[in-house]
Amino acid sequence: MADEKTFPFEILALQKLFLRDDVRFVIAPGQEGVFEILANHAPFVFALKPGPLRMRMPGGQDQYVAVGTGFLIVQKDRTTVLTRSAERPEEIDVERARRAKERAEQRLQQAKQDFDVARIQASLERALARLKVAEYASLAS
Amino acid sequence: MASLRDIRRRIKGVTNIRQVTRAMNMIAAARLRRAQAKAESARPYAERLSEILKDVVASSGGALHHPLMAQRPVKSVALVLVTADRGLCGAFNAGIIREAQRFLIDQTVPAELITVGRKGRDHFQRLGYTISQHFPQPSREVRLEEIGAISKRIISDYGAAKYDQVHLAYAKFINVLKSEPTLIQLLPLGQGDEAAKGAKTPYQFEPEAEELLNTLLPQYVEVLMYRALVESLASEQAARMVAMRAATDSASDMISSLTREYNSARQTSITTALLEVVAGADALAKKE
Repeated sequence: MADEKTFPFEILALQKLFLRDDVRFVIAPGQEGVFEILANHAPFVFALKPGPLRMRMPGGQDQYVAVGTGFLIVQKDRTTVLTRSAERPEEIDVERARRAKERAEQRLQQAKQDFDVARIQASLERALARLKVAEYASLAS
Repeated sequence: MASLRDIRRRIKGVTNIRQVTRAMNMIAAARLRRAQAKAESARPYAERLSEILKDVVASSGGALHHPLMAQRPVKSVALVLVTADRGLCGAFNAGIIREAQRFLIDQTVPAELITVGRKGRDHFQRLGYTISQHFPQPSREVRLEEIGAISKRIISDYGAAKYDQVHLAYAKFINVLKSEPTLIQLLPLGQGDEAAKGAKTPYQFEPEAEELLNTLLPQYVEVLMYRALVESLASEQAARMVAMRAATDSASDMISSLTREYNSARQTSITTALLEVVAGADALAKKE
């Protein structure tokens, strides 16, 4: 199966090297929509928005990571995600994320200025990303 | 000559000081280790991001335009000065402040100061400079929100043409004994980078390169800011550790010389007392 071919993949968060491993594929939340990267992809730079990132590990199991704004860069020898923040499902405080989501939704209705809207939307996206990752991970296990 | 009691009191005082400086030395050493790890683990991200920035710029053949890269005629500049909130760290703050002052004096256009950390602000306030923005030094964890607040502010002020150039002054961490006051141009970004033309890999972009820059450039500013803050933090802890070690050593020296003084004073007083007793006994013996 072509699907089984792996490629080196790493996630660099602003504060640390988050993950470095071989994967079979990556499904990432692009600014222009969700996309999938397999081995031997052409060199590419994608902008990412906050959302769930899914990786299939060589063993066949899936892992999820909540990524923040950033980029995914496909190079010949490796694929890199650069992101402001990255969190594993077990690091996510679901209750806090849910509260953040509700707060953002509430504010979004009241907000007037564009500047505020953009900021609140960003925090809403982050909260949603966390919730999704937590949910997917619990479904997978 | 100081009395015995005075000397004893001083020895006790210096011993207490030594205890404090020794504790500060050890705390600084522990924090330094963490700060240093932080500074080092921030490097791969920063390097990769600047690599991509170069590739994006190079692949477009210099035809890209973005407000954060636009060279404007320079009518005013801003200096972001990163210092510590606290002192007792040797010449750390003084070194970086000196560098900043030199920069400000060299400017031919009005210069504004944005300070991160209290020491820099205090110094320039005393000299009568206006501080247009002040941020407290971020916590030791250097959280993302803290950096985000600073870099967003700078970007939006720059976008609003409050100033046409932004420079950043911070202490770069070299090793425990050495940090280097560093001045870099923060905004506009990207000049000089065009020299690295002929990208090795023909990347494709999604979204288009120009739009990608909208995400990339603010993040790049944020990374530069983050690096400056963690480097400065590591330098500060290193400087404090060294300064406190020196203070502990001189306290020890002082204690031993005070002890010597104390012992000889005690010897003297014993001798005097003895002489008095002998003289008294002699006088009595003579009487009889």
